[in-house]
Amino acid sequence: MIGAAIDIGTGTTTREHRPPALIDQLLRDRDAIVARIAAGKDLMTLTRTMVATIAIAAAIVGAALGSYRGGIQIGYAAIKLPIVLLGTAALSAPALTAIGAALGRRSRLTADLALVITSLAYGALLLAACTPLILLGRAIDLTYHQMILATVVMFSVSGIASLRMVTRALADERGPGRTSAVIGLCVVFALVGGQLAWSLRPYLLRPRTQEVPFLRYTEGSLFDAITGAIRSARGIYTRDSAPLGD
Amino acid sequence: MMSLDLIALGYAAIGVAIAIGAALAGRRPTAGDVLMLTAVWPLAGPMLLFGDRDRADDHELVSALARASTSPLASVLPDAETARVLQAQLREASSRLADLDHVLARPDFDPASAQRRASELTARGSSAAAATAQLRVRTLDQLRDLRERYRSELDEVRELMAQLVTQAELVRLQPSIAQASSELVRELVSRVEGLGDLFAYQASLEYEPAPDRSA
Repeated sequence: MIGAAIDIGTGTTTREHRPPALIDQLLRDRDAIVARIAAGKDLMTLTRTMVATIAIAAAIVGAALGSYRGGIQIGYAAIKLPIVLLGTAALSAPALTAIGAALGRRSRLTADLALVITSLAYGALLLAACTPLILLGRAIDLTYHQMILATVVMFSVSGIASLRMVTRALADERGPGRTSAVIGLCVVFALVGGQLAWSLRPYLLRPRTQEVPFLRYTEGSLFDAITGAIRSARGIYTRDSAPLGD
Repeated sequence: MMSLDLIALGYAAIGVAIAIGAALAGRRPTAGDVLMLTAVWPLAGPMLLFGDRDRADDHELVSALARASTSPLASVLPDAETARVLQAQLREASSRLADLDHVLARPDFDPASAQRRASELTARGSSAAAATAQLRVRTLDQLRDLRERYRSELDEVRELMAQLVTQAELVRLQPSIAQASSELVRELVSRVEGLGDLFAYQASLEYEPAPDRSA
């Protein structure tokens, strides 16, 4: 009877281990995915599926953002957005492990990596679900700045959902270093993700843009841009005139 | 300044180098692994290289025996091949326990809900459906019982391994009790071998078909 219900310890690929089933489980039963990561079961298969999920979902979102300008920008943004998410996972997960280990948390790099990738895959799926909204914005001719704001809101929601999944997963852990590791991860996640996204922009370009660059020239960091924007808002300008735009 | 193609080429080369390193280290990466390493080596590399190492449970018996082998207990320990077989047995049991924990954590595997459902169906007079629901309750009980047996056996084996490491230190200080400690080693080996009985018990839990509804 047991064999009819589940496949325990036979070493075969069960239905639950197949990529579509894993994605379905990620959307419906994240606690089960978290339990699987904690048990360290077949993390390579999980990682492979989640990397593919991030690549495809982020490419769809990138293409939708690029469609605001159209042409080659669709392809550029579809390539760059998956790189941002995968790069964020690769750089954030070791931080979670390292900060935790320094504070006495049990060190498990592969499990942390799988957890961060899985949570980002969840966020990427949420973003992909927002694609119709991006296309709707294009269809109803939202202005460039309105599109930017809508995009920021969508990315913020999916980023918060991803982080919430990580924090919920780590909440089940016991022992020292957990809280600090979570706080550290949140900070690193926001900084790395923000800076990586900033370095690989543009994703959204005005339709009138003539020449489409794959990458913008380096104009300082995201922090520089934010402080510059705050200074501009206070009427302190460092340029003679505002740029004409793309 | 380096061009993008040069950076991409260097990036892919690092992935291929990790795949070659993993193959040389006996990890046998599949074609999918090599593709993953080439595309996203910062993510796939640690998985392939350290994935097994993070599961400390996989090596606990071998490491306990290795620590004991440096003491006068070495003469009563099983040989390397036996230790490898016993370790595989232990790993299999740990894996089955993790599977059971995973499955029984699912809300649809809650025995109380299954029992409630069976009672509801009985009260409603749906006898065939109630019999199937009762069968489900029994299956869940069997799963829980199996999990407890795995857990209890593994706990005992782990305690014996911890005791073996402690005993090895004691024997190092007092070599004369080495032979007396051989009982502990025999008990550990016998316990791990006994896990095979548990696998056989699991295999004996035959498929029980749903009740005949034609009546």
